[in-house]
Amino acid sequence: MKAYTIISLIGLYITALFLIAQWGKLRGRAFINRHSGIFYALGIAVYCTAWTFYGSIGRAATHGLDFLAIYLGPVISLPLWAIIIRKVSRISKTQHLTSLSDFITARYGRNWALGLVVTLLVVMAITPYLALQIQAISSSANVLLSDIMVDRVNIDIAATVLLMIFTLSYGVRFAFDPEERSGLIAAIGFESAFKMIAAFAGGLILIRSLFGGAGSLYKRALDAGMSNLLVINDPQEWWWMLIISSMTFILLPRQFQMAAVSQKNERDIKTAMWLLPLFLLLMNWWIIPIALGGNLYLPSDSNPDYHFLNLALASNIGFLPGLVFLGGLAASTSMIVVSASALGNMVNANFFIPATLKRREEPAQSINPLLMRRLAIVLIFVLAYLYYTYFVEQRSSLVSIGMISFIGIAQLAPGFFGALFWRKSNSVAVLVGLIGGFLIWLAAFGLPQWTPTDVGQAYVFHIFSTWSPMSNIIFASLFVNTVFMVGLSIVLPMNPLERTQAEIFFNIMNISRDRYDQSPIKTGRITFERLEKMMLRYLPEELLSETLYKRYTIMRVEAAPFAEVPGDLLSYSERLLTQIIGPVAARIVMNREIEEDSINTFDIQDIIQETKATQRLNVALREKTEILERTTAELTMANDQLQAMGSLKDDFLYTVTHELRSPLTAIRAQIEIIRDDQDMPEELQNQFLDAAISECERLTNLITTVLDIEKFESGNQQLSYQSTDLRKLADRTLENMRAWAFSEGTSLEIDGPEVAYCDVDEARIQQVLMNLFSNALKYGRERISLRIHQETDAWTICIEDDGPGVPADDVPHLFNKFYQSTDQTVKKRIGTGLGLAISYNIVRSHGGQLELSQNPPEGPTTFCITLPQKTSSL
Amino acid sequence: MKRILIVDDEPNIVMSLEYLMRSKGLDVSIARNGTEALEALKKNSFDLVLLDITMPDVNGYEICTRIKSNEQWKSTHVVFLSAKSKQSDIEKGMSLGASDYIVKPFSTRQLSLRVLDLLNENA
Repeated sequence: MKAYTIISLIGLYITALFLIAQWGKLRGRAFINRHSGIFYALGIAVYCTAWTFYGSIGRAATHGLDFLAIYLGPVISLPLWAIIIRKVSRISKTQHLTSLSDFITARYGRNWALGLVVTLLVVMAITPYLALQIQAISSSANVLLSDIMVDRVNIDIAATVLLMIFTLSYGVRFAFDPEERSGLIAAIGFESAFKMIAAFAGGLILIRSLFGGAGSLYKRALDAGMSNLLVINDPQEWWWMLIISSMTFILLPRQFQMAAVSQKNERDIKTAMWLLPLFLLLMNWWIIPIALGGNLYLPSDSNPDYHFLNLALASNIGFLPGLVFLGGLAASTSMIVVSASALGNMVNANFFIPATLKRREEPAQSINPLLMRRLAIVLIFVLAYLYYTYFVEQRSSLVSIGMISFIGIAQLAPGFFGALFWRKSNSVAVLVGLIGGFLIWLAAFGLPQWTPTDVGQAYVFHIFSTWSPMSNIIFASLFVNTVFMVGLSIVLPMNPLERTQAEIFFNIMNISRDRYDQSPIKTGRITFERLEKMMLRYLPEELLSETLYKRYTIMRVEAAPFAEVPGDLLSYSERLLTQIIGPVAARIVMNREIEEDSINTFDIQDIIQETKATQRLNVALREKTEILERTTAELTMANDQLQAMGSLKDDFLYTVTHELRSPLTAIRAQIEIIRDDQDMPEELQNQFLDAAISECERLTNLITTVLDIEKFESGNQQLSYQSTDLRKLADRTLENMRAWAFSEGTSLEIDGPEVAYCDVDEARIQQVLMNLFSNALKYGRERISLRIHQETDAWTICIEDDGPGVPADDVPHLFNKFYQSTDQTVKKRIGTGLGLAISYNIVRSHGGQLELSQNPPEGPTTFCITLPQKTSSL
Repeated sequence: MKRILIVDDEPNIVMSLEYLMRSKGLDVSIARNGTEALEALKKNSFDLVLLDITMPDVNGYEICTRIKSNEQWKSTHVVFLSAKSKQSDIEKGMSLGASDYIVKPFSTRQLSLRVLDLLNENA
């Protein structure tokens, strides 16, 4: 590739980056907010740097699967990560913390020394890593170069300056300027997506086109004796790297910035939970095939770090080298931008600002913290570039610098996790532990890394002789660090400020945000005039009018110049300052400006109790609401049922009165006729009177039955049980019906055991049998049969007729009161329409069942009653 | 002689009405359900029908509707005799073109007067 092509590729890419950031800052904000979960995950994917693109392949080409620990660690620990990040981001948001060092110093009593050591460690660990990215850009560009006129393109300085400008444009005000933050998130999201697509597509194309598929590639690799590249070569170190990488996935400054500070919404963590592992998989699956392929296809003297690029060149696919190169560029630049921004912020907050403040006894002059932050970022870029120029060239592999950097960052773990999960962890203890771990790291890796190779000698010692030197150092540094941190924390007392913060950090999930705002961290006396003056010294006025002045309105404060500022507004101001100059400096400023009554050792436990009580109340309220809703639903249902029952009752009453009216009509008519017609023959008069009497009997019957039904339905009907022979009862019933049956031309049959004793109310069961028989007679044609048979602990009596069956429409209403089939054309209806209803009630009261068990066309119409043999259960 | 049809499924009511109407000098026919009533209507023309509503096959409303929608039977008076005493039932009956709706139990004197009045109207 020609030099100008490479340079224009880089130029185009960085221009695109600027455009995307600008889009994100202005027009794309709504889009980013809508897809904040995806952008959040892509932001965290800044974890994959040029190390992934180049270093991992180099590592895989020489050490097999050892590289995998760096990516497996984060994936395995992701559930834990989610819990931690949720807590961390909430603390950072409520306390306005904008970096890892802010987080640690804020928790540990705003200890200046601690902030210094943390920052020093981070700068020492990360700067080589930054330099490495610059080198990756430069080297990869030169791998691509095939220009007869030029033997080297020096794009390193240009790229560094461009990225510095980018960082100064979008990585300074992100903590409080949502536009700028959107710009950065858009750019990093794009870079992550781009590097993933480039890696995935590049890997896929190479495997398919160059190696003829993964299968044949593995076969050839095994034939060539590369089986050692398909296993983990140093399991001891592998496990350590797994642990280290899962820690650094949270602790790396760039991770903290993207995961905690730039988080828009806590629920985005959920998206990250599935998107991140997917991303890491797509970013890494091709590494082993490429490493193997590179070893097989490329000359043995080629640098394995650039297998991917060299293979892309060898493939002769026009666009592929450019794509791979840009993917690597994206990986490098995203890391550089976010890390430099985070580091600059830390250096500013822990070196520059405290130094300025301490130097000035009389704080008359204002400082410009944002300018200082910009200077700090420039300093980081200069440092990284110098390191790149003087030291990087002499280092061997990209990956080893990365690992050393990881181990350095891991030293922050005891203090960091202590801040989150242990109320007793103490600032001095954390500082001592950190210095211990730092020194060991420095002796083994840090100093040699920061000196020319011929001067610095790595101080390596072996605790466990079977472990690799790296494993030994990891163990020793973390062990010393943790032991000091834990041991001293138990011994040393905490100051009140630290204790308050410890409670807040530990309990953050139980403290509601509003409540937190109302709880002053300190009290003191200052007038509004002086407060505003003080704030203006550090904060740009437009920011102040966006924040503090708005706050007055929200809190309904009358900001009279000489009125005293209320405590909660003071604590808000301190957090506002923290956002710009960091927690350490904010404390220095507040201490100097405010006549302090005392540090308010307000009891955080009260707040927590209060918040918990509120939460409990909320839960209780929710439960109550649910119960209420349920009750309402039940009431509505009950009401509906009542109405349905009411209308049933109305129907019943109406039907009853109707049924009463018919006999009454006949009786009245007959009597009136006899009264009015003097000429009526006596014979006819007697006939009328007899008819009237029979109608009276009918009335009596009707009334009795209705009352019976009501009794059964309300459960007030008493049954007089006695041991009864059902067979005898059936015989007797049959005899009673025989005359009627004979007149209808119907034959009656009975079948079953000779004796069938059962505990029943004899009269009632006879009533049931009579009803069923008369129904059968009503519909049956030639034959009605009654069958008795025994079941376990029960008797069943079935009455069968050869009639047309019950019409389907009637089946559901069969046992309803007064229901008479509409299909009664042929014979005059007999009975009250209550027969089946009362029978049903009687059988039910016996604990038995009455059902229509067969209905044509399947067979004869059969009603069966089942009666329990013993009443003991009733 | 005026012809009258009594439609009811209660034998004792039919018996009483039959005697009552005969004693007033009317030519009486009997139907014990809806089907029989329709058959009787087809065979003869009647001046008045005493019509029960609740019958198992074809109910009185239905019969009244048929009578009133048939050109031949249109002049036939329909008097409902029903145990259905709800205002809505009465209104329904009257809306179908009945000349009267008498709720059971009724006074035989009033019924006779009403029937004779209606029959004289036509004459």
